[in-house]
Amino acid sequence: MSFDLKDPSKNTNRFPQIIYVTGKGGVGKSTIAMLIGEALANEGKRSILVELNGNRVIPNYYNLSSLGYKELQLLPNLYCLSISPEEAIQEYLLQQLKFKKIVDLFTKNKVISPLLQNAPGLHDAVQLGKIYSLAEQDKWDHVIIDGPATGHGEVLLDAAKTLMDMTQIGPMYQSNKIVDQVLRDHRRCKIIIVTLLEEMVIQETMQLLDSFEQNSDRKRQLGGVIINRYQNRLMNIDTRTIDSEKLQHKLQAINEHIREHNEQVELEVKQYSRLQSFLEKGSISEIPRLKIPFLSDRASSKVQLYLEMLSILDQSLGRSS
Amino acid sequence: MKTWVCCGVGGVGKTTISTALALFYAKSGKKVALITIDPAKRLQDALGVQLTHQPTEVIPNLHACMLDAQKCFDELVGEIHPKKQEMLNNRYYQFASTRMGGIQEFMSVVLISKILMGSYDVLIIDTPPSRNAISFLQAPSRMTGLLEDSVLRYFVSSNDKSGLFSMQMGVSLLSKALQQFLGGKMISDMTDFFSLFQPIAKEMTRVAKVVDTHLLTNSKFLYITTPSRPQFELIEFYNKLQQSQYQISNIIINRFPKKAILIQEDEQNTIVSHEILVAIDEYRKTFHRKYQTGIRLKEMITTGNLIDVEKVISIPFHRFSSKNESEKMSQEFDQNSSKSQLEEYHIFFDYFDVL
Repeated sequence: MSFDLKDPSKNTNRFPQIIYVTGKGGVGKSTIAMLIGEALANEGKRSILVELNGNRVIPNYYNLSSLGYKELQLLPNLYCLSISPEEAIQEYLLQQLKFKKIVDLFTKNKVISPLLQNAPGLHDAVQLGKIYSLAEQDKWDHVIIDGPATGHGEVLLDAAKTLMDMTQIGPMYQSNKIVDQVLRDHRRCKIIIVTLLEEMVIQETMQLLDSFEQNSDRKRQLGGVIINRYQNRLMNIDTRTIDSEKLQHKLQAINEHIREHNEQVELEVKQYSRLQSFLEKGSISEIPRLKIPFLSDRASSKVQLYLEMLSILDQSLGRSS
Repeated sequence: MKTWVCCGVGGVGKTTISTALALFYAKSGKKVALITIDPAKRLQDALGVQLTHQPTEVIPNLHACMLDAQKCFDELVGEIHPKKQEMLNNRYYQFASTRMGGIQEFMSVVLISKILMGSYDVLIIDTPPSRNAISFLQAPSRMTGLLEDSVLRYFVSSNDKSGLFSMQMGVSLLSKALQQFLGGKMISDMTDFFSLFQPIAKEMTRVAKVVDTHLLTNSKFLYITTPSRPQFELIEFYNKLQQSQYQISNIIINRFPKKAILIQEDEQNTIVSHEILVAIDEYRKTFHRKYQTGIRLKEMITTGNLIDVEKVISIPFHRFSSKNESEKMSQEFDQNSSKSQLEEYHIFFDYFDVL
């Protein structure tokens, strides 16, 4: 696969192809990215999942020993790739310097290597460059990015711009300019934010939404908010018709558990309202939302999930059905 | 100074547990310092003091501070550096200190070294929720690597602004290529930064070595996780720590779910109402599924051949009471309210006895 940073295709009718999934650490980004990939693949869209963080959620789910820099097939129409910054830098240097021996001189040099290690945003920018070159191939209908957690998530998206600001001139500047243009084009790239209905997570999610809202490019790119691990209330048990006293006691103890559970669900409902109010107040009230339930066996309700996911993607990606 | 380093990814309750642990030791009479990284408002309210990067007394025996990477670096530069303004204006510094995580981890090393000079009995460190939990621990050696004399020498621009190019053939050819590749401005910004940095490099290296030694010899690592985290995360962290010669001494599984109360089959057979049976079934499924995630994690740890792990502590899920609306509205800070909020953390004390 070549790391090709030619000018972006003139065809701006291409539907939003790049889907960037981000959110606070621990909300289930990788799982949601997989679900998006599966839903689209199931619909016949040739999709590739891009893993950036070296985490094992995706390989474990598909029973793979590891992911690599080469595409791996997961399901019909669904492929996967892991882009580590080190490998991306190697490939980029190879393209610029032409010969592996020279690249090795760079990366193994005691002076140059720390420089490369510590150049701010360099690792992020080469990952973005790789994503860009993937998107520019005619192979993929969709490129789904399992993005880093918030804090780093927004920084990564801006990495090409950071490099532009840092370098100002030269080939690095030029190539990052191209990459940045595509990655902030709402017609090419949409952002999906995953959240949980927990106080601190909602707090960070609102901050993230706010920071995106402040930037006119990012605002248009906001594709949707997905609420993960959504829980339902449990029904209270009416013990009046129970004869056995022992059983009654047991059921009352169970009701106590149920009461605590429902209290927790109430808090989550409050957090959802908090998020809703926040969205209503701002200029992004139209942003689509989807709740994904806390599941033990997703398999049984997968078809239903795919349909729901596709309907939110229809809205986020502005697809005509 | 006995040190507990609380590790784990973001969102598992590290800051809550670090604070509870600090309170635990303070209440038992020890002089405690607590370094928190990014405390939520709830915690700040509970502690009742405005946290800064200087240790502040919370209750007798407990001093707390919060990492403020920018302020910490500004102080460091201000203290020892003759050309402070030039440094702060340097574009490379501005990028490195605001956008990249590296500076936060480096500055936590500096903050730790300052606390180590104090007269505390116990130090509790709440680590930054970074890209991966290990990067915080690697900060001292990364600092040393970057600041190594042999590397820095290449960037010194005493009379010669292009110090980078005056070295052996090999390096200068590479430097020219690098300059083309990265662009001249970036190189000159970095060159300027590192040459400005040189006077404090020695001090930073010394600080890094002190902290690294302390982490290796006097510190115990407490890994905090929850049942909803993927299991491989713990294994990977454990392995990475082993490689760096640190050890997880204890694991805390926070927010451990409750076990479902089971209805026996013969009991169930006496129930006529379909509605009740459905309710029982839904309850059982929900609680059993959650409880299993906790049990599986516990089993994985105990059978997973994690040597050197002394204890696995399961702490049940606790819902912190929230202030009622009227209290929230009040502008006045209420001493009593903070005290009672702090007392809520005492529920964790029983679990810490084994440490």
